[in-house]
Amino acid sequence: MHFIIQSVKVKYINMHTKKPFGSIQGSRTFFWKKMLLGIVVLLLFIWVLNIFQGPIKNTTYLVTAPFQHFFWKTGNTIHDIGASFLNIGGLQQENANLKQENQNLLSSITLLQETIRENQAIQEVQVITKNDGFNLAMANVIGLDVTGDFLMIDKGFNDGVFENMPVISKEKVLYGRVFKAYKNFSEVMLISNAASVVDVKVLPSENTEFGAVLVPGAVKGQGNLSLYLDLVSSDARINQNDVLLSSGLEGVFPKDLLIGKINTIDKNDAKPFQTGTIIPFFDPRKTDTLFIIKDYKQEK
Amino acid sequence: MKHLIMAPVLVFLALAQQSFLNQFSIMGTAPNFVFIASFILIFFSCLQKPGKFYHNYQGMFFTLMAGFLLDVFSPYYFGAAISALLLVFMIISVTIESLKQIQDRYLFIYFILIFIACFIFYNIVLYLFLHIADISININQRHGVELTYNLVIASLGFFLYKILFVKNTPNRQLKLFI
Repeated sequence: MHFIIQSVKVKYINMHTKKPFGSIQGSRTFFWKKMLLGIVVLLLFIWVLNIFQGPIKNTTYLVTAPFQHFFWKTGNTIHDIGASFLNIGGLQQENANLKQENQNLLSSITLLQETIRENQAIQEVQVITKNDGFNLAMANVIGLDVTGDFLMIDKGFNDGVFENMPVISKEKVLYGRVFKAYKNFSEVMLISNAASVVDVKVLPSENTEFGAVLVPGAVKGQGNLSLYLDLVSSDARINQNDVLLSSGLEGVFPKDLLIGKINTIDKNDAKPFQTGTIIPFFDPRKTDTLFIIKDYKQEK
Repeated sequence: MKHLIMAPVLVFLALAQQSFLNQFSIMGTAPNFVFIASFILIFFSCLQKPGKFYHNYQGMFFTLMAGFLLDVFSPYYFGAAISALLLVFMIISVTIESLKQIQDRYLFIYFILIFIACFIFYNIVLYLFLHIADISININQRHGVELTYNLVIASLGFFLYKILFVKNTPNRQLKLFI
């Protein structure tokens, strides 16, 4: 008897496609399954991160805060030294002092004018000018996101800081509002953020006597720490160097906070509104401490 | 081994970018150091391991880590930077796979071209993720300054990485330490 022995090839069949794994179709199916699995795992990973977003971010900020504070201080110092070199001698310091003095004076002048114009009592003027009407929380700046126009401060909801609270400097310059509050930290959306809109009034620089007419408008952020003026009526008289104050109409920010000065004006009869560029008063790079207004009534 | 060295470097860069380097912006733009570092790491990782991106675990590790760091220091939700960087990782991997015989002398040119493409792509994807509800296109000279600023830093990073981790062989083929 002769036995014929034949070699037998064993093929593993894919139960779903009914085709062997070794084939092109089989390997393609395997590839797409692998890809699908990878995408599902990634989405799950991102979903879990978002569920625990608050604790994850707060813990990260808590751990890194000392380093960030150190970096911020160092950066401030180096920036100032560099700027001093560029500006030859003490011009930088002198300029900073003058700017601060100017802002203080502007704050006092505008608030006085506003109050007198409304024919209110002197006591009320003092209340507004001295900031005593606000319950403030002081916070240190520990981070800046220039591209997104956000600041990070070291106060969170454990310190009574919540979302949408206005953030100002000691000179009553408006910086923005709390965008997101974590346990010990908060993200502040600057008024220069592209999503930010502040209702303002334009205080004419030429007519500073009593009875000057305030022009309403809106200051919008355009990113990269810059602002522009919009929605000013085309027949309103505005000039370069006119000061912009918050009007409080949008219900997020208190009125009479300093915002900036008009730099250029774009007036076109074809357009219903005037627009313009603004020199902002805020300078996040030179700011160490900010104040959060905790008791301002907000509509949002 | 490179994971252990570069992971703390990425964390350090993320912290420095958030608190220190942003204070030295030009025309309101600052370099994205975490993106640049991750790009350099992914680029060389793909050169070292040409092939399918899903087999490049080192590149995947750097991508996910950099994405996480960018997201954790962003005020928005998690996932935008991770997803955008994963797409960038795929682009780099596919591009390098199609340029298998990269000569050392042209490497810098390839690097620059791929970086420009990926930087623009990354920012577009990130913008779409974060502003899907209110998309408005406004390209101005700041974007050019931002790209140039990032490109200069990335070029410096490229040479620094080559000095530290890459060894040239006499036949001018790129060889990397594993």
